[in-house]
Amino acid sequence: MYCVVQVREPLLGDQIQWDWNSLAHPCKDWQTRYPTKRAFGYLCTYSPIELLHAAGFVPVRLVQGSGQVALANAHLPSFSCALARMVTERLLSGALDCLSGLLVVHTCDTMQCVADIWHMADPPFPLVTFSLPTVLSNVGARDYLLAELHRLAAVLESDFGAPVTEDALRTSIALYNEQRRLLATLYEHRRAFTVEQFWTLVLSGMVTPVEEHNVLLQSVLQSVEEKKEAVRQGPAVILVGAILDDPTIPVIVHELGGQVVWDDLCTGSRYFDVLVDETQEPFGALADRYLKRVPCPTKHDDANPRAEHLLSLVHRTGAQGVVFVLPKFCEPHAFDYVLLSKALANEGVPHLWIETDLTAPIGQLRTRIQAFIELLRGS
Amino acid sequence: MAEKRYKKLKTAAELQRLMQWHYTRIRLPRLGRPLAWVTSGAPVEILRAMGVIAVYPENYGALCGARREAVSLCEAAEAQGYSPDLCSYARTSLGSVFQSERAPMGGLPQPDLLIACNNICGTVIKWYEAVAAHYEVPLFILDTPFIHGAFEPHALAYVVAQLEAMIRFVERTTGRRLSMKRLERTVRLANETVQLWSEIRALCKARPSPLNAPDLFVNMAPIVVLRGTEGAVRFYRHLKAEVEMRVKNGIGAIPKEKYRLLWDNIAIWHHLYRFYNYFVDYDACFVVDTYTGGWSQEIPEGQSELMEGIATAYATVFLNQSLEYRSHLMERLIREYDVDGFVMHCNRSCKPYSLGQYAIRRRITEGTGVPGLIIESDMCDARAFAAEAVKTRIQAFMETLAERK
Ligand code: SF4
Ligand code: SF4
Repeated sequence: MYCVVQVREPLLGDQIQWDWNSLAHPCKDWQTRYPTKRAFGYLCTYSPIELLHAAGFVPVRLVQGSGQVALANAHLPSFSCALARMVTERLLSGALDCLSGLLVVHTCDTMQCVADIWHMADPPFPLVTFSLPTVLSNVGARDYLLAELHRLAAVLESDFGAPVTEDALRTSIALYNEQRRLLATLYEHRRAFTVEQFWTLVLSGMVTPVEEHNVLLQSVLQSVEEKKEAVRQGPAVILVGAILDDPTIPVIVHELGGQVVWDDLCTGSRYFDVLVDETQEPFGALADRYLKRVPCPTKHDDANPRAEHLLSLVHRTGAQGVVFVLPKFCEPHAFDYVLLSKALANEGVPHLWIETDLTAPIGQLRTRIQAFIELLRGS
Repeated sequence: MAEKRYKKLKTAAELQRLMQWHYTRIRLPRLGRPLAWVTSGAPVEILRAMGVIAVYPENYGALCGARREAVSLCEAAEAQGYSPDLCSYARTSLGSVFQSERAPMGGLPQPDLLIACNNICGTVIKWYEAVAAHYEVPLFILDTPFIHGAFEPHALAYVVAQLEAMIRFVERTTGRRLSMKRLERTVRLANETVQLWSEIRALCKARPSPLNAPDLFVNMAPIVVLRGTEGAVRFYRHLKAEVEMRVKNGIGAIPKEKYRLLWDNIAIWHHLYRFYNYFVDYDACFVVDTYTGGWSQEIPEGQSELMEGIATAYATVFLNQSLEYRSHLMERLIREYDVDGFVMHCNRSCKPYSLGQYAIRRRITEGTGVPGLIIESDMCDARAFAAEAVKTRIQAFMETLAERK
């Protein structure tokens, strides 16, 4: 990605030690940190992590990260997104060998292909696929999804010896709901933290056990009350896109006098939007959460609420502009960009379009963000 | 003329008339008959049985590509914010929607409804969403879950439920009703078309092969666009008779067939004859391909429920199945057609078709010993074609094959 901001000093007192590299390299030190815990990789917010957790695993999210692509070139053409290439690289280089399994959910064409490519590359752990419906509002989608969730549970039991009981699933759902609530609260209090602290708190939750992350969030949110929230000025923007696993762009926005007030990102608000109904039968409740969410660009919804959702975020947060952070070669996001940017233009909301790849020049990025913030200042 | 190196089929004129008639007919006053834009893998039998006229933006994209008019349409789409990295069928189609004055035949006639099936890719969903937004017409998406392993019973039930929803959708938007009798008849015609097409492709097992890849690509148009019509059946009967005659008389598609090759992925439309002529220069003929075999699924009749048959046929097309499945299929074709080498078009436009080709190539070469060449290009966007580099790679590959002979 752009450049990795490496934060090696303790960020929040002695509460969290965070090395940004550990986000892309969850296996580094896994054995020492969690000698008794088994990690299960996944990529997308449509992954039923509650099921993995209930089966006794720690769901660990695989993100893009930065680095060289070498081995992956023999497996993927140059026009594959950086996420696909980087995860392939780490998988082939053995950097993900601590995983007990890897779950790939059907979202885009690229994920569909890499699931099979990874499978055919003989990883040292089993790969499990989950064919999520593409049209979640369809007749029959819920029944299908429910059956697919039960199939996944059966695979966890048969191939991993890790059965999922209903009680365990309820507990896992409650834990992840708690994490979602805490993240939502954190979003409301983001001004109490530096940009890096904020993203550390959000993203670390995707590669650490949820129990640990919940405790961390609880304690930092408690001290928020005592802390004075910084009053920030300058144009407010919303980030929209796929994966942000590196705080470079929000850091630049803030350095240049803007502020990120919310986002529609897979590694951001889409991770914690909508709770699972804890009063319902747990499998059905998991299915329903996917049906209720504002769809990601790989999903179709007849009502197509993405543009409306973005406009309502703009209005609710008082943002003056939107920054799209889109991975090169990502079809679903590239298509949606056109519809979303038109909807914004109709409402007079300016936007900036940033395309990210493994080699985006940081200097140019700064200049463009600066020009955009100046534009927002003037408006 | 490069084309001279091909033995022209006598049925070529008939093919041209048939396709011209199709593109003319969709522009005639339709007396209230609705017109749908559909993806190449949509269950068109249902639409035909309901009297809905179906047109195929993908076929139109291929046509623009072959006429070398796709690039300017792609640019028209790019000017509206669509990334040049998107599928060039989608960009060509959207470009023809935004700037019909630039488009061959003025673009396709405006749709009354849209039907997209994601059994070929996820791109069609986004593409059809954009078309639906532009024309403000209703869109139905038939969701066929991708098959990494087996086609599960719950997936079948899901697709059947959607087919029923699709029928209600078409009834609602067009006011027409589906008669099961007419559906059965259309399915029969479609199956007959598919059978004839499969038989024609199978005739290429002969030595020398009666057809080369460009013949297959050109002649596949009716199987996509007119499947389930009497016109298509008639045409393929004539084509089959001609191809049979070629086999009987030992007439090959190219002057001298020394190497037999397999082609994977969509044609390079903008260099169709020129590109395959690079291989003819080495006496190499593409006797089989994976793309034109994409329309070889018959709908099981009689035994089971018709809707289940349609659901199974459409949900299990080869692009909706795993790379392992595709590797096995290609290994089988290599054996059946006695192939010396395979060429994979790594098509920037089409990710589901292209991203797994390295894995497939390794698997096939391990399994059969047959070498494969991967060429990166694009089916419609001629800007992505580097002729000299491509020629050099073909030369090196043909030398490898020569050493093996
Ligand atoms: S949605 Fe986009 S970024 Fe995500 S895997 Fe697919 S192509 Fe890559
Ligand atoms: S992505 Fe591939 S399958 Fe899909 S419309 Fe484009 S060319 Fe066809």
